[in-house]
Amino acid sequence: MGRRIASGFLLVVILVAVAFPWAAMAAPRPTLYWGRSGPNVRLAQQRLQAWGYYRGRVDGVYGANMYAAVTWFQRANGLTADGVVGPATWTALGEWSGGGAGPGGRGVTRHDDVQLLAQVVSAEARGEPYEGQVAVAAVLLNRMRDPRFPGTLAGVVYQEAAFESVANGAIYQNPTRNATRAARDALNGWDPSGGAVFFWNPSKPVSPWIWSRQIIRRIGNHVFAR
Amino acid sequence: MRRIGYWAPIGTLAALVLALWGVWTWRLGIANRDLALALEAERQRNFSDMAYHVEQIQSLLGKGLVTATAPQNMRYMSDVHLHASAAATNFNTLPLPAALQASTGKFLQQTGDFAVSLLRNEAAGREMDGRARTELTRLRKESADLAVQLQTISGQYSRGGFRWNPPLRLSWASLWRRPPVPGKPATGAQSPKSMVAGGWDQVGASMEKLPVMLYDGPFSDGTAKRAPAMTGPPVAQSEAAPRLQAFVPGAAGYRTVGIVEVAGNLPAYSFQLAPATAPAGGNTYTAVADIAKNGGYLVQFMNSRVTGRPAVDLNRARQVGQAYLTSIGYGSMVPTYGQADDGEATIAYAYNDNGVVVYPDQIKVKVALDNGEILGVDARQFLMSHHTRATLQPVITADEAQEKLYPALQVQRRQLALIPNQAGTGEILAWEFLTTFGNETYLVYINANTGAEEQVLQQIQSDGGTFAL
Repeated sequence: MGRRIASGFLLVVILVAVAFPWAAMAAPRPTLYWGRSGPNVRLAQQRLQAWGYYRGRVDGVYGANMYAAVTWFQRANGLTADGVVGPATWTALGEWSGGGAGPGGRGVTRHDDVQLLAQVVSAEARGEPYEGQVAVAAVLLNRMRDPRFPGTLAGVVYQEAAFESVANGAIYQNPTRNATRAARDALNGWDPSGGAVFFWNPSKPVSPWIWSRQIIRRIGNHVFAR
Repeated sequence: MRRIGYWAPIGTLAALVLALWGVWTWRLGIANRDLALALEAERQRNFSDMAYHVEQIQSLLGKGLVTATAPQNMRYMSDVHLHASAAATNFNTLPLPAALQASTGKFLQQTGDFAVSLLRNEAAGREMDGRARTELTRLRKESADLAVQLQTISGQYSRGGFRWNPPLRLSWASLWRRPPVPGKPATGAQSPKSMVAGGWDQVGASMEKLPVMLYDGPFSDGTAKRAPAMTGPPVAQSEAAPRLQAFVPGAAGYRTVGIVEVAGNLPAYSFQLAPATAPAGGNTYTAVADIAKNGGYLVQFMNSRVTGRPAVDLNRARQVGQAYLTSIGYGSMVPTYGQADDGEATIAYAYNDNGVVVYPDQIKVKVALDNGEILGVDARQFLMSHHTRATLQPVITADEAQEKLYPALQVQRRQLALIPNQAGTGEILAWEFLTTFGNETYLVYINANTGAEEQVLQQIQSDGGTFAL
């Protein structure tokens, strides 16, 4: 129970962080809720209708049908299903105009990379020192540049037998804020692992082969090696 | 009579519960079997695809050896690259031991990468030399061997010799022992033999024996073992400690709680730092600073403080970072790209060699946007590549270089820059043009000696700043 509350709190923290990036708030769309009307409601209705969530008339009025559609959409997108169309929901709808991609930014973002990397870090290195979390993220990125491993981030993460958190499903939990920061630091080029492509916890059973790697350093409970 | 009346409802209820549980288990069994079969099909498809691609590679390498003309050879080499990356993608989804994954994956990646290096040479007008030809012959033989081994494994599979996901056999042992899960990290308990049959051992054995491959490409075995360019006399741990005072921002506010030695390309002492105000005796640390064992340079500094509400903008952060670098002796640095996220700004500074921006000599600085404190420094790249270079003089002028650009580009700015070459093994002096095309921004690099177009980067404007793609 305590854990559930804690993770619920964490989710709120992450949502707040995602929803209110201090950096850019140019011309945000208004927050929509029950009873609102206008062109923005119409826009949201069109979007939701196109994706099959909204079954009612596109009339620009936020009513019961709209509420059902918004909560359904929010649940399907891992958002808090509160029926309020705020920045996070607008972003998921693809209509968030605050800041956003400038010239040439269309279709290219690092957000997905940060998210996936953060999930692995959160699952594999929870409770490790911050430095150790950045190092774990860096190991994944180093693997992309190493001939012995796949060349894409998803390829590295989901490689067979590579990460226990993928095998046991822990990776699908929401990442901690520190894990997200660590992922971003690693993507920005930080590498406390010193170029490592392996890490393991010596107190857990690992294949003997892994000990034949050249060890670079130890951070917290993890050994990093090349 | 009364006894039966007492037991009958209980017995019926128990039978009903048992029946429900039985049906439920049976359904669960069916669902599990369907999942297992779907996964089995996925794995076997990937394996068969991999075998197909390896056969293609060996045949294309053969054609590449036989053909007399460069354009034809380039065609084959580009196909080799295509099939090699497809084979690697397929291969990486198979549940195999880590050692085998590493060695075979590396063979596939290097084969593709080597083909690209040949392609690049031929595109630049350099014909295949004797060494490349020998290497190609060797790769051909090895990929043919691999193709044969994969066919053997394929035969074992079709005869029912092994399954990627062997179905769980009901036995007494399965009551208390968890069945092996393919895809779980290979532990000592779960040997490869229990999962896949002998054919893979052969593949592993021959892949382990492959020689080191040296060529002009990013996956060449030579690039991994580079020595740092900035080095110096060995520094003892006791000598390194006082250097923290000079390098670490706000050094007086910290005390050292632990020291760890770091190996690798840049051996270092890692000092674990805690706020000086923290109670003594603990070993939790909030910052680390690594000092190089050779030369005593600052390798990295990292403070994990979570920042508050931003009060400093990216431009101010740039100045803060610049001032800090000057204060620790790196005066000639210019800010390149910057990124602000979650209350922190990361700015990359490149060495300015008499007006030439030397991108490989890079130091990254992280600045807190709430109070402008330096939260991190990463000088690894700078230490690896910074050295005194011969005078960087362009052969062609900026105007001549600009003529080589695609005419529709609008040039916003131009400057001389030293960039890494495509293979990642050398440096090129180039004219850098910041251009706009429609509403997109591109950086185009024209070789300042030959006039060849070396690199095109797209600049992406995101919420927090710019980054290049």
